[in-house]
Amino acid sequence: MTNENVQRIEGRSVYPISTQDRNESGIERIACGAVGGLLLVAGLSKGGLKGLLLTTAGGWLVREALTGHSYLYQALGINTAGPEAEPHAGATAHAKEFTQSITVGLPLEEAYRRWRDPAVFARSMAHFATVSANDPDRAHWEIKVPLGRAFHWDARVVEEEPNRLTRWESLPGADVPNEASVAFREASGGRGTEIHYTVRLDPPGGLLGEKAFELMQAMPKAAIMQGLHRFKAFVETGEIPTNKPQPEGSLR
Amino acid sequence: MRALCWNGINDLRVETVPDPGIVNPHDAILRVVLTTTCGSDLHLIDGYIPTMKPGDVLGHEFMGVVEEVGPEVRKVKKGDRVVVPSFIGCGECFYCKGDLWSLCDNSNPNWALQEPMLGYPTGAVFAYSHAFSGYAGSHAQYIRVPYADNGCFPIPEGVSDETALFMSDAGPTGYMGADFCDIKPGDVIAVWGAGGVGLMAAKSAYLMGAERVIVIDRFPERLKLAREMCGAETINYEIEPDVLGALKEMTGGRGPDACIDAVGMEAHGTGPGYLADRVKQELRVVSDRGQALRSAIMACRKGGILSVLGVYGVMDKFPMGVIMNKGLTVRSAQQHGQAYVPRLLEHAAKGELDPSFLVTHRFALEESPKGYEMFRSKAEGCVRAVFAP
Repeated sequence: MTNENVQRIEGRSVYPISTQDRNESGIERIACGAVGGLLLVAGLSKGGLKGLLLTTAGGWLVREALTGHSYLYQALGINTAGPEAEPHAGATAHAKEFTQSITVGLPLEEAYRRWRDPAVFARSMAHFATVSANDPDRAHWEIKVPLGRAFHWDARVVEEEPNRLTRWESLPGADVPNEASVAFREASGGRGTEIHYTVRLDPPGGLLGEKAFELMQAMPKAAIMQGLHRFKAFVETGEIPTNKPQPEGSLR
Repeated sequence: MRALCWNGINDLRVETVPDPGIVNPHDAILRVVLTTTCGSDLHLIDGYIPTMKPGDVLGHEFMGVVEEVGPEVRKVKKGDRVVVPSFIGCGECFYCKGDLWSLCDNSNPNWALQEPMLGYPTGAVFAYSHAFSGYAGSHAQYIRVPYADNGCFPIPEGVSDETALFMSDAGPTGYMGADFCDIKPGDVIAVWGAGGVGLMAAKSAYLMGAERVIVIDRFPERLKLAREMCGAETINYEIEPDVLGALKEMTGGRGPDACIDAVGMEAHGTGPGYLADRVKQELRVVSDRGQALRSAIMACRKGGILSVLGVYGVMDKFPMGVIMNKGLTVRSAQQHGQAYVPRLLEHAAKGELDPSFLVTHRFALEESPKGYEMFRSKAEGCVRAVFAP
């Protein structure tokens, strides 16, 4: 099991973080995640150099929590990770799940067609991820985190019922193993089409890990909801609202 | 360009900021001709509204001339003299199509900031915190208007700049407040607050066929305007603190058929209830002082309508039981301006509704902080301070 499991579209070279690099235990990862999360939030609400340092430190720790890989441990030859799951497709049985929903004022077939357009989807998610795809059934996701790092995974469609459902799974070697299933239904009263986006992500490990994961879940949940809002604005009005750039005073 | 920026609580400064430009295909850029203070700005300045950031350009009630339009703008062009409502509507979503423009699904880019506060995100508004979009405001030489085909209303010849200006906010808000009252012949309407919005609500209520309109406030100059410019009867609650008693007498013991709250969260009152509110507000335990709203709830006749225009955050001591037991209907919203502006401009063109009397003071943009001081203190009978950038 080597980095050959990590497939990259367009031969992009990416910092490899496969599961075999894990050298921290679940509890250590939770601690990293909790502290890192607090520092990130503190750093983002401050400005200036202090904020940058806090955000960087926080981001670094969050990365460590999510990947289970510590450079310090690596340098010292320490490995506290227990027996881990083999690199796998999609999420595991321990995955936590959330769903976000939105209603779009388009008929079912048109809503489905626009959603399955890779260019439209990429634009909808552009606020937090770079999603690139050469075909509608495969995609590469990149989510930037502080310190110039990024989470990457490849995903493919594993099930499709046109105008009803599309299911995606991340390929083995994903930085954040996940599954997504997007369901489409007609909304009542001619209001258009309901889109239900369900995501399953693996928590760091064990029961305590699930608690920490619930805190972290706020981020992907909000990011997905933002993506749904962006999709709706784009297909209903032809543009995605933005307030950047715009006039603002110098004290910022 | 020059613009008035919010830089913290009670910290307003005119600064040089970048000019706005076309960002999205339905944008227009306006040269601002007139822009005015509004009572709700005071909540921003006093720090009761979260998610403001230093450097935010203020101003949400304005009129101007179109300078530039984006490639998808069809209904206005360079040179058009237009008035723009404060709330921005995309025109395509369920809410805009239902004439509920301030509830637009698509115009606010900051959905994630607003959803935790309100449960659902609402439409964008100029210069009223980042949760409500953070779009830069009109106390500036230029402003970017998103979804301009829905927002820019050409002003008929013969309607002056000062008349059209208030069709941006005070006019549609007051008019909507009266519309909410479902006015029938013979109705008596009571309005709390004789500021710009309250005066417009009073005038609109008469246009919609109210028999009598009673305006309640404590500033003699404002009550005078209510009588002379709107034809209303008035109650000064500092002279007659028993507002409920006065209204009962004026309505043969029935109470007003509908009550409009045009006061909002920084209500002033008298007595221990008001003092308790002030303390809690200073401590930021609650954001609202509810004196005016509670008074309206008590005074409204059974089965009547409570029309709430005042801007609120979180209030405690809210008499839900009074509403329930008296069977009141509560109607409230931020202004659905796009639904009302055409009618308002028609009334103005016919000389039936002219809010220009609200312009009690004029300032250059450079003097706008002083303008807000005067507006807040209501010195010299100030009702609205208007800036010409």
